[in-house]
Amino acid sequence: MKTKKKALAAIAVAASVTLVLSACGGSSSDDNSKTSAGGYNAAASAVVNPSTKTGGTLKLAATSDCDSWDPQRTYYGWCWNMQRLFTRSLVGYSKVNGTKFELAPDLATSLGTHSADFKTWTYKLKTGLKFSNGAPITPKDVKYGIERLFATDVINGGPGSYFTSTIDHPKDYAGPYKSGDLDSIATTADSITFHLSSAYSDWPYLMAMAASAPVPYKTEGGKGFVGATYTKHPVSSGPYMIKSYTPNKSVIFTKNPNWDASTDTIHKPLADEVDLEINTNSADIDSKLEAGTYDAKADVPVEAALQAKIFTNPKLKANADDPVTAFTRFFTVYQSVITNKDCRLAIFYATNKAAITQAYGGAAAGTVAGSMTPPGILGNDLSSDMYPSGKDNTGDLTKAKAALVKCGKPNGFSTKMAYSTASDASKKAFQAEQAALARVGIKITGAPNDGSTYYSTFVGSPSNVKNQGFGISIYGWGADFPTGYGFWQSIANSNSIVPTGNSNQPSLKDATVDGVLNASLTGKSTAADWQKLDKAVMENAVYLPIYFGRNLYYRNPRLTNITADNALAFGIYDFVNVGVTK
Amino acid sequence: MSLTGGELEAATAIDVGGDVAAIEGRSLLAIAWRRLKADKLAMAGGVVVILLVLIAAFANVLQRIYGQSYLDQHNAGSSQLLDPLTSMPKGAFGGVSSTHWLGITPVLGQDVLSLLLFGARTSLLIAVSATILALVLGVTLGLAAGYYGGWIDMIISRAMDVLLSFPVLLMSISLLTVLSIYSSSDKLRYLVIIFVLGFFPPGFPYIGRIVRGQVLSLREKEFVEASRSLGASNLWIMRKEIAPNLVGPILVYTTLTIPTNILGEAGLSFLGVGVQPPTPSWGQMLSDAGKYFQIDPTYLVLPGLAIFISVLAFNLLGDGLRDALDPKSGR
Repeated sequence: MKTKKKALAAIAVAASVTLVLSACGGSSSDDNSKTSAGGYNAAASAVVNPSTKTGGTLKLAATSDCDSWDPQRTYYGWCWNMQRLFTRSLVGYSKVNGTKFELAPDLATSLGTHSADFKTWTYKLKTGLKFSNGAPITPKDVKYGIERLFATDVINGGPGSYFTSTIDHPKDYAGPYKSGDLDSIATTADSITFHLSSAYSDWPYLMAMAASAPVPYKTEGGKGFVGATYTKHPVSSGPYMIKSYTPNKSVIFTKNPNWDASTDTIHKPLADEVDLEINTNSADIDSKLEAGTYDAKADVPVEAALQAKIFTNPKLKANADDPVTAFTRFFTVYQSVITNKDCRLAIFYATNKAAITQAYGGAAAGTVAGSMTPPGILGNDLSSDMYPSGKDNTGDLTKAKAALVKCGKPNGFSTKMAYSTASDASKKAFQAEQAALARVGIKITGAPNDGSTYYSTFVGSPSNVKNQGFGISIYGWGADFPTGYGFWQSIANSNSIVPTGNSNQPSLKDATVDGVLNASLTGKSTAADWQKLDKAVMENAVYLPIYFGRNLYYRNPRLTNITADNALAFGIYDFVNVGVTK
Repeated sequence: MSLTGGELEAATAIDVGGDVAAIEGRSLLAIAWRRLKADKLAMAGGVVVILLVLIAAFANVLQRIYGQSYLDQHNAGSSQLLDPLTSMPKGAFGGVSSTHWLGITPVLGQDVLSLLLFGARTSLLIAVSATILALVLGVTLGLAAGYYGGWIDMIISRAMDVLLSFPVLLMSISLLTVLSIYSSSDKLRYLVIIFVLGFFPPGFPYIGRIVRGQVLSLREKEFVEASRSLGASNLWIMRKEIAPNLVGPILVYTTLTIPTNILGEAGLSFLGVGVQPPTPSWGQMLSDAGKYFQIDPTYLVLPGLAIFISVLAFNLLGDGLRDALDPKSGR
């Protein structure tokens, strides 16, 4: 989960959000949810225009097609949000009191019962569940979906490694196509039991991923739509089904006639149809959004032009939301290249966090961060700031110079900074960092990459980082699921270091960090544990947190029952429950 | 015993010039200069070109006098001149003020005038270097092809044909993209841009063809045959007899290639594969401006105007030179 687009932000709304929202007018509805008649940021933590009126077509636009429509193969946060339209899994995210999204049983009757050692998890399925083709959804189908994740030759690109690394399996098990059934997932007529190879207390969060959606046992999407081609014809288990799909052009969802509302407490579909149009011109989407041709953007926040309009035009602003996301923007300062900690600290202190946040969109895009754990993840502590960056967060040059003296390079040094040119903001952030470090004599030259190999082999390869001498790189991280483990495991655990596609960017090996992460699997960690981990990471001076993300979205005023899904997809609207007027 | 190149040149001029009788010994270039002086548009273009060159050469001096540097960003803390919510400059016309005469950029808050000054340096440095590369290759190879003919001509001409059929834009985009994966060196990037613009059309193959064509007719001229019959070596003839007669077309071609290269550099930078920030470039400025034109078109107009004026100036000068140097222009 590296980029905004790819990562899935998970967030259980923090207190700060409620503060922002308390100013918005709220009216109580019969289901006791927090609701709002609208206004700026109203949908960030309340349901705007609550309604039960059905009918109409919801028109969405995205700047690119999903990486896959196969629930087991998609890893884009916004695509997981789209999966909510047509797939269900054992567990799901449900809005509680209109303010926060939390785990709730979906196909299953509970979040799961586990053995004392967190190694066995059992779920009982509800009755009356059906696929869009009319066939009943059985535990066998759920099992089959998860077994597909082991067939990495055809089912790839998704978050499968979470499952393949925890479910107990023979070494040579290669998925249902080649190796048949997996014995460690046991099924009865109405229940399913997972046997894990090690303790995993966050298991219900994995069960809430689209990747654990049921797939019809062996028949999949029907003749010609098995395995790699299932993306073209995924069978629906949710309230909508795909009526037509033209790759890179459009997806049209209609109501699934076999979905039974009485089995579902999470999804309450209102619109008859949901149209998703792919339009690679993000600015064009924005102008159509403004004109009302589209109802909402499904994947990325609004661009700079619409952002400026929103904050200068009160009418537009009233229909915009800027929810907090569980995303942290940070720089990696590589200890493999800058071996001296004081030299790294000089970079920490000289960095102008305010200017870099401005490069990414300013106050609407984030709040300056002093630690790594973003709001919504257990352990978030907004007061924690081990290396304060001076007045207005523009950098503490006195401390930076002192650090340089300590590292033995009082006049500064030179290094390279890697960034992806796919994001215009990253180019600007590089320039801002260059100007900031120049103030204390640290000279950085840019190492731009067009983005296609940035996360895989450019900064994703520790050896490339070392060979090319990157001292700094721009990175960011959103959790795959809203727990401390979900946020930290890939970026900090020493067992996550891999030769390519590496997310533990600085190749961090810290006993305290590993200890907290591994202990959390047995369900014992508290906020204090995660704060201890955060401090231990900061102590290494390898991750330089810049800001905690926010995303600016615009909603058509005709939308009803709309709220930001702050458990999924970077605070994007929870489209499955949105209705339209007219 | 033998005639010098200059005398020969004068002799040629006498052959073709109109009002020679009155002005004795005036060279082709002198005549051309007289014609050029009478061409007001070309002179205006020439003056702008000289100004541009001076701006590019003395950008840092000008900036010191002006007192604002593009390296200073007004994007945070006490020097903040941007609206933190929109990232746009506070104040009218992109933050125009007595300290920032043309305003500041969105997001980074850099001084626009300073960016334009240094953009001129980038633009001219690359355009002129690429043109020089094209000239060196084009004249040498064109001369060899035209003069020797035969298999040398065959090889060089076919090679130029091949180059002329290259999809230059696509190739340069992919070349520069690939480059950024392997190297982050600014100097190397400069060299590759110069190479791409100079080596591929419209660069060396065009001038190579033009020179070859000229040489083909020149080598049959009497003064060349005379020289040859007197025992001059091939190199001597090329250097002393033929090359001086190529000065005209080369000069014209140079002034017409530079604006094409200015556009080429701006285009590549606009597409994000040209020079990289923080080195300022007009193309980059245009590319950035595209996102803000709905809010403030100034950002589009200023670098656009800079490119427009420099290309126009070089073209006017080039056209004037062509008229002045072409004896058949009928003036």
